[in-house]
Amino acid sequence: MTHRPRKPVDVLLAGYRSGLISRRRIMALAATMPALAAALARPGLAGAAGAPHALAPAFARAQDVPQGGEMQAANDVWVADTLNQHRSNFTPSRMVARHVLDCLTWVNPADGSINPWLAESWEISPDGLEYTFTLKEGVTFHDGTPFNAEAVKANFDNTMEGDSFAYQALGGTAFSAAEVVDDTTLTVTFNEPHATFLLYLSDGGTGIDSPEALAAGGDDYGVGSLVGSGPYKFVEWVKDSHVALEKNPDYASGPPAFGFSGPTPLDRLTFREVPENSVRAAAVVNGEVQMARIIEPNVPDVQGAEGVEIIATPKAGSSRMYLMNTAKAPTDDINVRRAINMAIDKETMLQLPGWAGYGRPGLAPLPSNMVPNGDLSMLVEYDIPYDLEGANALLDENGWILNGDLREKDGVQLVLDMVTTTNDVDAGQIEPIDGFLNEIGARLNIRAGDFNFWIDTVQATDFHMTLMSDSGYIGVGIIEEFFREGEPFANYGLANPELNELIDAAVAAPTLEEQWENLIPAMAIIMQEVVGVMGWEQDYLDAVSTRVGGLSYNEVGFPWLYGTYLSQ
Amino acid sequence: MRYALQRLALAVPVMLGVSALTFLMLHLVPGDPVAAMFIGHGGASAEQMNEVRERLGLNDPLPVQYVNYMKNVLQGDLGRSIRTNEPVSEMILRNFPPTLQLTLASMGLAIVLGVSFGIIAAVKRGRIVDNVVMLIALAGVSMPSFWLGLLLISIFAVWLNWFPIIGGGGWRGLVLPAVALGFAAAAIIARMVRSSLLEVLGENYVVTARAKGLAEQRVIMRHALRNAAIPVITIVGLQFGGLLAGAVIVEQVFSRQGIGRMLVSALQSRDFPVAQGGVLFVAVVYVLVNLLVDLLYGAIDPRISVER
Repeated sequence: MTHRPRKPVDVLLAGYRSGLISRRRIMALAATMPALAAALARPGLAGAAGAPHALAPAFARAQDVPQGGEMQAANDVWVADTLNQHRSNFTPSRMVARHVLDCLTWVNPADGSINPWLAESWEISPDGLEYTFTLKEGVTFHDGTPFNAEAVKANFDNTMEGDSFAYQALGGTAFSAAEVVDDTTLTVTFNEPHATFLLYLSDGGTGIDSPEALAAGGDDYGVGSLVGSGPYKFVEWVKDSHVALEKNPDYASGPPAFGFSGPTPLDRLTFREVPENSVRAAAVVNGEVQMARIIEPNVPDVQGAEGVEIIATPKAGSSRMYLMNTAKAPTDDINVRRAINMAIDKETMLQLPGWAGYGRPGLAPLPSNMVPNGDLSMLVEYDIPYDLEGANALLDENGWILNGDLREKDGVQLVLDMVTTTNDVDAGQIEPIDGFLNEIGARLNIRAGDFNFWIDTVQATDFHMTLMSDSGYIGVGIIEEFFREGEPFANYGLANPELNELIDAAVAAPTLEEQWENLIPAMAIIMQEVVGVMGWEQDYLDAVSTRVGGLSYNEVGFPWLYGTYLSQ
Repeated sequence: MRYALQRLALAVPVMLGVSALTFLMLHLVPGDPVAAMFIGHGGASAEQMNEVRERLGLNDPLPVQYVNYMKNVLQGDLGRSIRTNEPVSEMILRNFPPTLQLTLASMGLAIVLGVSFGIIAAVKRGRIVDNVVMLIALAGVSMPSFWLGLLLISIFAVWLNWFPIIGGGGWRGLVLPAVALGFAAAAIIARMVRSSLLEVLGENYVVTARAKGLAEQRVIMRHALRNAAIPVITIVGLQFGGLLAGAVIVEQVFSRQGIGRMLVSALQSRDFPVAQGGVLFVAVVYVLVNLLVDLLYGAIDPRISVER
């Protein structure tokens, strides 16, 4: 049996037309899948679909919707290190901070476009080495300090003193200097091009803090204080418990392209930490929290619960990939890797409890929501479709002889060390792969531990296969991280000079267009090398109370609760 | 007093052993805190990661790291968290009160339930009440606190909506975690009270007390229970340590702040100073509680004297 690959958008549209996918879910998906949003806007579907709710609140003035109340959003961990983004290395921490800190740019999750926020406009020199920003006037931080070019420079200078995510976002060693031209004009220069700079400036990690508060707070900044100019003010961070924020009643500087710029309707917003997945799901069912990030196996815990629905948002980052060690027998044999790909029926896999029907079959290292126009069609020819008979024939042809239930060649059995986390095993996303592989006379030897065991063992290349992925909005960073020879987390034995050159060229590209011109062929090589099974394009799943309105998500796929309100 | 000082002196090698074992085990388990910190950066170089390891002293040989650590500990400095840079001693001070609150609540519950049911089972020996109590006790000993916690949440928080799911803040938030943690201890105490009581109920002084015409309640509470208390106190002391350890799981399930959750988080991120400091602190509490139990023996039973 041979499956013809279908574009994820086609699969989603078919599901929507047949009623299998709800209107609310398709709208949420469209918020971060430009190709889907475009397809929904086509005649015949637009009327049914309407405007995707996750782009912006469907109101222009906060007073048009219910005011007040406290919303609680639960995750396993929101802040693992600090809320000081000049020092933090933790994604959810940046997502919390973005409610307090406004950023210079705003990336519209619907189309990936870069829009003004605290920077009203910018110019980029032809060589991509100098950015000149014109900043918004009349903005003040929560402590009364004025926002201006000096403030931005102080922030950038502070970032460059650490080794945080923000340091990488500002270009790391490529960053040269930030210079104040006048109160509203700032230039930033680089030693080498940093094409993703404007994208990174939309991330909470590069949000702008009050320079006064930053200097006064010292080591306590980001722990006992956090002062920005955003829609919420920091109240407290009780470690291992919650981060409490309150409404900034004077707020008037929402991103123009968001369609709403005034004070947020909620009085209070609390990010609560609930480490257990099932407990988080229970907390949204009994109404203690109004939103809970959940994982696929907990979907049945909330499905059908009164007043709760599941919002699926395509995750920004890599696909969830079962990557293989191409330098260790037997996965050093490309035919073995190819046969493994042919043995895994991704569409069936996604219907299993470990996936609960969420996500889309993976095609490339980056999912469709991460590439321009959501278009991965140029890579379809490198996909290896499900073909069980073909997989068995391929192994037969290459001398992998079935001996009982297991194949072997030259005395080596087709048993693969699957190194993973206990979380992935518990989530039911490992053992089904063993089931698929049993059909071709192969078996997984599952070695699971905690996060550190997993990273350490993969870095030591003591594995054949591992379930790997990363989050983030910058595709080039992910491809470099996993597939550029010599990178600390590129542990899959790839040593392809052409691939290295393409990745290097993408990293050094002065423009995003040029970056993608190199990244797409780089992904083609990764797929041709059959480094792994491009498992699935993952969704972030949120269980959300139906009382919540005006819900929006940022480009990373995390909730951005500006403009959000609670109905009675 | 001399005995107490001797016991405290003996605690020093125990602490050294605990610190060495914890240090060794943490460093032998696979995991690099710096790699965990940097994965996802897409561009963090090997050099940059190595610089961080160097700054944290993680590139030094293990014996050197241990000696440096112990030097600081002896000066009262437990170090700083690799992840948050917060002093470990401050983290312990912040997290201990909620753990102590939970442990004491669980202990109180375990003692009240355990002693009551133990007495009932002993007095009603062989009857249906005895069998039911012992069956419940068996269930209590067998049920993992993690599973019991989830069961309690399903019934009392989601279904009946009597208590909050997320612990912390007020007595209502303490009830379910305390039951989840204290139930197994209550079961063990009940079984111990029953067997100790049954042993002394056949003693001559109990027969004498009854022959004197004392009320059964007075016989049990005044004569039998006090003499049956020594093994029970030993078990209670040991259970206190068990409850501290059990808090690791229960705090996680009920999203409570505390030493247990701090330790889980530190172990997951290989935050060595926090994990080492936390384990050392729990060991100190354990040793002190056991010392207290030993001293209590003398107070309860004057025949036990350390001076002889």
